[in-house]
Amino acid sequence: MAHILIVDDSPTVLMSMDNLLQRFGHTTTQAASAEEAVDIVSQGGDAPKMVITDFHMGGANGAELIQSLRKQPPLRFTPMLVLTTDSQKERREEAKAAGATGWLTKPVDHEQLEAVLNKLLPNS
Amino acid sequence: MNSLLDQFVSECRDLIETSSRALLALETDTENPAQINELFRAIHTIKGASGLFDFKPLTSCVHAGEDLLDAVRAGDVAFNSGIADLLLEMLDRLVEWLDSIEDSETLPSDAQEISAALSTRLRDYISDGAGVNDADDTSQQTEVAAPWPDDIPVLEGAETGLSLITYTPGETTFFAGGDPLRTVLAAPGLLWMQVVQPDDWPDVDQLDPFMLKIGFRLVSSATVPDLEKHFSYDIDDVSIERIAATDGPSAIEQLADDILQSQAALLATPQTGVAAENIQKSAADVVARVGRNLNVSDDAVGDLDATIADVRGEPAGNDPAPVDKPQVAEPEKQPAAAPAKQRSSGYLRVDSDRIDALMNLAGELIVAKNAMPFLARKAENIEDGRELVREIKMQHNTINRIAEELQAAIMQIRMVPVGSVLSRFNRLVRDMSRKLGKDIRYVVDGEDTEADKAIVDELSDPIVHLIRNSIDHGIEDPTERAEADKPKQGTIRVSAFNKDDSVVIEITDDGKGIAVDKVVKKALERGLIDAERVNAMSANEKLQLIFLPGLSTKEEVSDLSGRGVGMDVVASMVRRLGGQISIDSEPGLGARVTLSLPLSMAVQQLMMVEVGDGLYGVPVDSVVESQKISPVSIRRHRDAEMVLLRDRLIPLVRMRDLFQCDAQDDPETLSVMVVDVNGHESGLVVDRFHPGVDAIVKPMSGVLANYDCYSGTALLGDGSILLALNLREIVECQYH
Amino acid sequence: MPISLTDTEAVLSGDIDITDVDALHPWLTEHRGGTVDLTDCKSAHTAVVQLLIAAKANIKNNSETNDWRSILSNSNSYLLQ
Repeated sequence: MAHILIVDDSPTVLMSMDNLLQRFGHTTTQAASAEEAVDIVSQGGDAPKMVITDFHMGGANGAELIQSLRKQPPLRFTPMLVLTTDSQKERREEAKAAGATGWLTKPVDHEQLEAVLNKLLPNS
Repeated sequence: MNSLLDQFVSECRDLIETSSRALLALETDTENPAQINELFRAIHTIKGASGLFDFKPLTSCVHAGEDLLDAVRAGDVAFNSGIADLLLEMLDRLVEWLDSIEDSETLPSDAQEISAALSTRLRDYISDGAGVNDADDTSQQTEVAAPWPDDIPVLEGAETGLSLITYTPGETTFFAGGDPLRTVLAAPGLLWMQVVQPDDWPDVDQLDPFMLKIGFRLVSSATVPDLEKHFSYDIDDVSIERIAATDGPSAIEQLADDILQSQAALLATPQTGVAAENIQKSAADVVARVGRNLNVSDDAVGDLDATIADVRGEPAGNDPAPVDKPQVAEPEKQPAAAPAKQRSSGYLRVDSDRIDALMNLAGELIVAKNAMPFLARKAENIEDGRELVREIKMQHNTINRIAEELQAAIMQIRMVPVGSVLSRFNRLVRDMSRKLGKDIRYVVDGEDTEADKAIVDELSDPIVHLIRNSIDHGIEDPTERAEADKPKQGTIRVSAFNKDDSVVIEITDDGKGIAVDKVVKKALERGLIDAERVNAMSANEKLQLIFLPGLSTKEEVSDLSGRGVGMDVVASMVRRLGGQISIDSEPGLGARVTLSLPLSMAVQQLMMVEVGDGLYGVPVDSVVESQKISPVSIRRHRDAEMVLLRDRLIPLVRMRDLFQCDAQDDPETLSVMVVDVNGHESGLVVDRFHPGVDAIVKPMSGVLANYDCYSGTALLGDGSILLALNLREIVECQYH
Repeated sequence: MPISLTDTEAVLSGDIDITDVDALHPWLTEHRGGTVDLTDCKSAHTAVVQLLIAAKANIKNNSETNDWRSILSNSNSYLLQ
């Protein structure tokens, strides 16, 4: 059971990610943009155990978000994943350079999410 | 190139050859299921192995080929010559790409484009609805497997091969949210894992706990693609290797290991003074070490050490090397208990360089043991030395036997069937005869005949030229053949068989044969021979003139039969291998070229002679006698120098002139080694004679291969190289 | 509490996070070779395991389960059964 921050400008994606994560017993906080995500984190409270963010969003992109979240002490060691499509492999490298742990390939299904949670979070 | 990649390239080359063979067989027998399966398996294996590396264009194009073959195998697609051509084209590409991988570890820049086009064409053949299955990846697990590491327990599935993953994440991994241990523990198919620690840790209060210092090794039963997927976030920090449990070290390997160790010490011995002395000293080392492992009493070893120290010029008893407990040497000793539960395969793929290294060492041992009789003589001068002399002679016999057995065993390892080379030319014959509009069948007989790998490897070039010659000049086109009442299809037959101590290869064609008069005419025209000599020749001898340098009977150099490469080049290639070449022909019926090659590069006895600053070897078999003569006894006839020895007039070859050294200053006597070359005696004038050695003469390679006056090189016990003289060339060179 | 530290022992239970290193590191510095009880420890972050190895902590594990914890004893290896 962990608390996960998901960031995407598409409500559909947010909802489906939330659904999936709930099935693994995780709870989510949702943000529609990088800026909103930064706000949520800087308000304090329980730091998320994982961050999953879309790459292309209005405003700052996923890589930029990850770079700024990494600077927040409670998130220095937090797994952060970027959502990309299969054709955006160079985005993954960009995100990794910015401090991402890895990526999820859209569309995210149960199996993919399970594999990724297993290698990054306890008790999944 | 890393060893896995190396292995991959050599494996693929083998598989490509297998595939080509199967494809060509399928052309005549399109529904042979065994050939289709063989082809499919080979292609499938290439695909599987290539998946270990990032050669996506290669993998995807082979994948398309595999899918097509799968459809053929399932009967969904009928095999036809179009498919054969396309697959051959694909194999040609693979060869090109493998060359590129070998050179630069990358594919050529156009590979992606070519692969895409090829894949499309391959897939076009797969009819709609034909099952395009992602073939299972299990069969790759038996391929490309490295030996099972000693420190890993043998796991379920070790015989067929598992994956060993070495995962070395970067120091700052934690700051990217990584938790490598968790990733390792979640790896698919995990069977075993281990934490790899740094060599030493700082004191705990100096430790930065957020800097990752440890790494991981794990063994998994999952497929390589699955593992790559699992570790995809850190794929650059991961290496995956297939490992399989194989046999433990064999008796011969243990023996070799002993020799390796002693030879290592041998090579570490500082080398001063003349070579001969060095050989003795090196020998002393080998003897000392091998001797300790034999059943010798401590006293005898002590005595031996004293003698050895004497030879080395050291005070006795000064050798700090501990004397191991004497053991009984048991070459047939069982190998140490192998970690494998079950032996996976009776074959090991071994880099041929390693076998060469082993062979060189065996050669050195053979050379080194020559010094033992010398030790025995030395011991005779020691007071009460008789017992020691007896011991040394006994040791000499034992070591001699072991060395010979070792050498024979290595020779045996090096024996490979010539078929691997011969069947390769199927393709050549097919492509070339198509281009020339000829119809030619290629038949190989005796492909199981074995010869030393070095010989077999070198066979390819001369045979290619001979086959090309046959296709180009020998076999007529179908109309011409029909007019001559011959079957439309010509035949080129390559037969290999053993005869005495050699392997004989005959390349026979049923073409128009060779016109002797044309050969003779050319030879005369080019001034390669004088008419007087020709008249004295038999028809067969005249035919052999075709091997003279500078003679080519075809007016124009054909594009196909290899530009500028004549029979003389073929002949010199063969002679360089220590072989002989001859030709016979029946005009109108065909021609036959016979190559006779040594079975192996066995030990030769060489006499050593000194010329200038160098030592050279002369095969003992060719040596008639060694004489010291007075310079005044030399007679001159035109430019030639001769000497009368026991009523025979022997032409002299001044070796110093040949090697372009300055002449000796007025020596009182000349050292003449009389040698027999093809029944003719010549005297080599050298500076000095040295004792004979046993040595393995290996053909020259690289730049030196162009120096015809050497037949090869032999490694001496002190690590120096002896050049073996090619007497035939030296003697001929003198008269041309 | 996943970590409880006393003068004689550090007891780790449940899932130990990388942030727990902040507490464990000073304790191991003060208690060289101190006993660390992993009997009820389910999982530990790589950083925690690395710290235990580097500090040569005296590992106590009364659990009979064969799991990752054996990398802290058996020549740092874990053989799954």
